[in-house]
Amino acid sequence: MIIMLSIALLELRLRRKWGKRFALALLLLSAVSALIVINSMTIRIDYGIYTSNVKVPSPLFVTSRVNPDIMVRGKLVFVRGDMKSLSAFDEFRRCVRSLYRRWIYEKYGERAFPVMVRVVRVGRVLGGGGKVRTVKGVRHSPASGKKAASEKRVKRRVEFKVKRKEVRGFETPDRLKPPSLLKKLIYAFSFIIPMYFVIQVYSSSLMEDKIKRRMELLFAAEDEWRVVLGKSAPYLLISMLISGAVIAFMGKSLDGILFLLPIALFLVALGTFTAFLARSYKEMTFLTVIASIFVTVYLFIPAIFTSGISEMSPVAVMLRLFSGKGVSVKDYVVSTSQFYVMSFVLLYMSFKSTEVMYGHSNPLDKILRIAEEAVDRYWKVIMFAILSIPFVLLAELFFLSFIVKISIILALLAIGLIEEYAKGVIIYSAIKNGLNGISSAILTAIGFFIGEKAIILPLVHLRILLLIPLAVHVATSLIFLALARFGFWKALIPSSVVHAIYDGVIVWIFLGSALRI
Amino acid sequence: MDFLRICVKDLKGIRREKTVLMVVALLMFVASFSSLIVTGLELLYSPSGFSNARIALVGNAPVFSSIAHPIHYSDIVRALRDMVDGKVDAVLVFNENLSSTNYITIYVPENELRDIKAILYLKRVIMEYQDVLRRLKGIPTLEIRAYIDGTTVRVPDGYSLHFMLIYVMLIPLLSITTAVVCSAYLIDSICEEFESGTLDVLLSATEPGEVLAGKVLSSVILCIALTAIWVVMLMFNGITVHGIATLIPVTLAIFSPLLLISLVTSVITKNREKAQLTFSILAIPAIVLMFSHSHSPLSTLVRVSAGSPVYTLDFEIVFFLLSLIPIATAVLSGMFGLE
Repeated sequence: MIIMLSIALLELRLRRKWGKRFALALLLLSAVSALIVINSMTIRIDYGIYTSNVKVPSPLFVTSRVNPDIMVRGKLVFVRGDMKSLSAFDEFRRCVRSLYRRWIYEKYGERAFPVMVRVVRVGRVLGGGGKVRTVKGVRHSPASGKKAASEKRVKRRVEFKVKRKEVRGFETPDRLKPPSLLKKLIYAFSFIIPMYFVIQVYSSSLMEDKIKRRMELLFAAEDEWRVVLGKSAPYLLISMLISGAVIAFMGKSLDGILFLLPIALFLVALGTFTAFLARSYKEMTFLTVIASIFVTVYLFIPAIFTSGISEMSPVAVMLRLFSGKGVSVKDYVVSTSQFYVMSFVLLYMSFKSTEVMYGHSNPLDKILRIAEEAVDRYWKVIMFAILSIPFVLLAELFFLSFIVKISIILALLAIGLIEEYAKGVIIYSAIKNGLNGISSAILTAIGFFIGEKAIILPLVHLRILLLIPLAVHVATSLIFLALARFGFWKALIPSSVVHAIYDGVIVWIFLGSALRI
Repeated sequence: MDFLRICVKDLKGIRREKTVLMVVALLMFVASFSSLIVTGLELLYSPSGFSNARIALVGNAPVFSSIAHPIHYSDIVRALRDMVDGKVDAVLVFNENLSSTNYITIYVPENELRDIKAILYLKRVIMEYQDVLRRLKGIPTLEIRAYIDGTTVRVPDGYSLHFMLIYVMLIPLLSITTAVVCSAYLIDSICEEFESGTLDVLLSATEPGEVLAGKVLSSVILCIALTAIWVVMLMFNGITVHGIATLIPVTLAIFSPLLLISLVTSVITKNREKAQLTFSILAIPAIVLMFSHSHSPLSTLVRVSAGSPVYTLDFEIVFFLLSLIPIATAVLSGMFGLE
């Protein structure tokens, strides 16, 4: 413990060597940057994007006689029919409507606005199976016979919610706006982004120690985990302090820190792993950028949804907490456990990477070498298969977010490749360590299946097709095993293709039934 | 011509480290994922995305009912319970009054897709209702239609959202990502020479200016290559990009201020950590300034890619920023390699 603290203090002292002048310059720059950012928030890059033959009182329009986007002749507006021209008409109409509203108000006063509206949003949380869980967590079924009691409960809750929410006054109907899901995400970004910067500095510091061979000296003197935890502790603390300050500044519950802790821990573990794996600063930067995007997708994409899959994102659950809705211990465990698991695995793999950290092979081969160090018992085979699931889900979500748009076949192949790579690494390592191939393949498939269902089943109410995926996992693992003697990559391709074909059949069945509905 | 050899060495270095593949993956992600967001947002926020919603009405409103055809309820509690149960998407409470203002309270489920659906539908219906009431009061209403060759064409409200998301959000985002990636690459490329001690070896064989010019040139080539990739990706996604030949110098002009910051910070600090941190702090206001000025290279990029008119001033600014790259490289060459 004392040694860990000493390493943490040494890390802080090393940063102090940057010098007071440099720190002051950074501080000044930060202040100036903040001022510039605040003063320059109006976006003007869309100015002059549309053309019109007459002067339109909007900065988006410029006058042009040559093939304008909209041609105004008297009371008629002519368009070309392409997307830009129709968009220009839409903006022109908005502009004219605004002028019209001003005109009728000046001429007819309040009489010109015969309708005023206000929106009251009634809080609720959707549960599974057609039931509704109210904000207070009490369940009732629409089909239950206790209608009177249920009605009273609903009335009480509605009255409570309405009293709480009725803060807005009435306004004209043109000001009606739906809630912005993007705003919710951007708001959540403000808690996470500072962490990325801190972790970037941390991984750079580790990389510097590695390149200057200081890491070897530290590892010779002390356990790897003590060195890494000692070096990372200040950064973890700084991340949490910054995020805590942002939460406090925004006037939100400091309980939110509990959701940010696993994310910060995971980013520290990721920074450690990429620094140990990378061969140069450049490679580390790109590994960190790519890993950060993977994490961002994993954190934010599920948060867009309102129920089900959103429960797997700590950001979504944190936002729910901030909006005053109940968050149970189960919600916390479901949303954060994968991050704790991934942090543990990444740190464990980092400690095992001391033998390969100075090697010149590519990062994927290095992962294979590290796994060989780790998977040397049968119980470890099944354990690592289970623990690999959050990583697999993270990679799958990333690829699905964009490959599906390009080609569903590519997406299926990517999913097959990701899952078979994870299983293949474990099987390959077990064989290299002298474990029985068939037992290892079957144990890997079982572990993978258990991990997959443990994460997915609490989120998605899918209780069918449980045994078929297990059979497929066993089959593809055995295919990999049979071909492993030709090399890792040559064995990976056929097993991935078989996996993709299975996924394709499942998608085809589901799509078919959905289309019939 | 040593700078060309250094440039080639640095570019080969990228290939060896497989980093190009990662950058390609990054841009593919941004290009494709953002286009997914654009499609999703269009579906969600375009009024034409939702043609209908189930509306409950508590109260007496014959004119409104003739327009919106709501389900009538006598009890607000029952109506709200049906909304919570998903039988209706929104509940409206009001009694119609043709002689004075009608105050309508709209209840919608919080934070649900149904909220978006209901509000978008209601906005259209209530605006129509407002026009009917205005006509009854003798107040002129606004009717504005688009024509193609004398035929009326229906343009839904909010149609411009898709166009704006592509040309004002997605394309600037891709170009900024490219510039930031290339700047990070330049910082790494310069600082690595200082920190690994290989700069002395290089300087024993060639001039400092040649080394720096080689590194800058490799980052410029990387920027051009990445721009070409995202332009192709966008076209692959069915997005029309105008003025492709002009896009390259404009994207380089966007990269130019960030390149200058990364050059100055890495040559002065000679330390990757310090350079990256200072770059991050300075790059943010630079990017914000580009977003907030109507003649910035980012604005020019928007207008060029959308096929809108570009002004002489825009090109002058682009040329000025482009000329800064060789000037800054020449000036900083004197400081490069100094202890």
